[in-house]
Amino acid sequence: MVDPITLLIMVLAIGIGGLLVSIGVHFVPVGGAPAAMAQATGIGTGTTMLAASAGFLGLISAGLVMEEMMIGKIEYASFVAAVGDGTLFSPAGIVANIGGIAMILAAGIIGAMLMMVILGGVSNILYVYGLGVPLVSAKVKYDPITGDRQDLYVTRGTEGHGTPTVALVSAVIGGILGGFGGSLIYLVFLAGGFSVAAAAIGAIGIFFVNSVLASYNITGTIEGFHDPKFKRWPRAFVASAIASIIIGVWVAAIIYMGVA
Amino acid sequence: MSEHKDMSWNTLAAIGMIGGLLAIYIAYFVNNAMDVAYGSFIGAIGAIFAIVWGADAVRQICKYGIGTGVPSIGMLAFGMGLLTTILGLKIGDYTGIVLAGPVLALVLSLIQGAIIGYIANGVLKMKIPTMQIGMIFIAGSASLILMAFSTVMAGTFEYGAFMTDIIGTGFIAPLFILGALPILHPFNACLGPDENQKRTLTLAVESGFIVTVIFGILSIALVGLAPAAITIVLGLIAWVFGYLSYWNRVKECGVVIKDTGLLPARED
Repeated sequence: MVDPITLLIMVLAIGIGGLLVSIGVHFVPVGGAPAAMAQATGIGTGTTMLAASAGFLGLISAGLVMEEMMIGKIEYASFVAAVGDGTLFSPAGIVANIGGIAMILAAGIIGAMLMMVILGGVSNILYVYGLGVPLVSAKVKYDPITGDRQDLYVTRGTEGHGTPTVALVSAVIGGILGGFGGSLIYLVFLAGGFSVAAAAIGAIGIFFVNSVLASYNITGTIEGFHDPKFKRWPRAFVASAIASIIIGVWVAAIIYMGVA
Repeated sequence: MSEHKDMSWNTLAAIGMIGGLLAIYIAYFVNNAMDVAYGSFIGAIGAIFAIVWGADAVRQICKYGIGTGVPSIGMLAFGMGLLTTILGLKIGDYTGIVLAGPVLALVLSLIQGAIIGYIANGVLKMKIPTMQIGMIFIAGSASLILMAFSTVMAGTFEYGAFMTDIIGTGFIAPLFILGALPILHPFNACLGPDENQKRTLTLAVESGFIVTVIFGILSIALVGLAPAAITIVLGLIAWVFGYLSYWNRVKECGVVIKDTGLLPARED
């Protein structure tokens, strides 16, 4: 039997995780089909798929570190014990094992960041050497990070092409938030007694809900934090908070009844 | 193009819910009463009912253009339906009334869909009039599809079997994506000004059966060769029928092109 305070913390942690995923999605430069044809800035696919790929790699790397702790390659006996008896998210458990939690979250963040950089970087290689287009955004005149002039290089009739510096940096920030949120949710599931497979698929389910809600808020393409659409994030914040906490309550109910 | 009236989505919802639940219960009873797994294929029939229901709901929402592509909605449906389904089945398991599980899972998913639908229209201001009911319906159909294909693969929808045989084996990953495909793909493939309900839903049935065949193959590992073979063979036969009737619908809806020949090289 898991005590109510721990359950409450778990619900909140799922809520926070979902929120981070949702905000992270707003940072990811999504260009959709136009970007695949070098007619818009961003990575040429939909938000859901991008968020999912970042989330999956985040989960894989979080799972890897988790496994290394479980088999003793990384020695952290109290963390393993806390995950085993479901006390990881009790107030005392968090204080005692903050290092372990941080390690898992860091692994998730690194995985998701890597995925975003690979997605942005490889598509840039294709844009530059395959299609011969410069990497520019049409939404801003000067790149907010490098200060490079952009409007001169935008092909007429397009919204820019490739993933320029600011969009790539934005993607990395998106990866940080998404990886953090995803691995936090994953850890809650594991601490609640779910099997590794169940924890992963549960985290992916919540990831999908939040990334789709975020992309409904964006409606189409976004370039990153310099995009005018980015101002809409507060709406996604409220939406994801409600959605994630409700899902968190379902999860807490399952944990309360005992997962096994 | 033939003139026809669309079936109302409430009718389809009723058919989907009742048909879906009935089929998985019948499969469960057949398997439990005779202590075999030969009834597993009946679950697939329930999945088809739920798929037709879900595909129509996707159609009604995406008609308005959601700006993110149709596939995202299938992932949302399964994201919403997965945990509520597990919770519903768990309550059935916890209280000892296993048969209540699927009904509870469906009800909880409908509630979850209502909340997400409210968020989409009320908070995100998507202004899609069919969003609220559509979300309720796709969450419900996702939950039924999960339980129906779980019955196909493991021969039961019980919580324990769902957690070990479906999730523990990793079969949940194809179930998540392939289960969503037949509800998101038909409208994505058929959308456009001449989209019509019959053609889209025929495609839903066709893709539902091909997915059934895949789950039939996976079920070899869980229920054994003979029950799995029934699912695979019946699924393949049904798929051929589904494919041919979809092909006919496509031809019905297609524009007739008359060959008039090339212009003569010089005027005679």
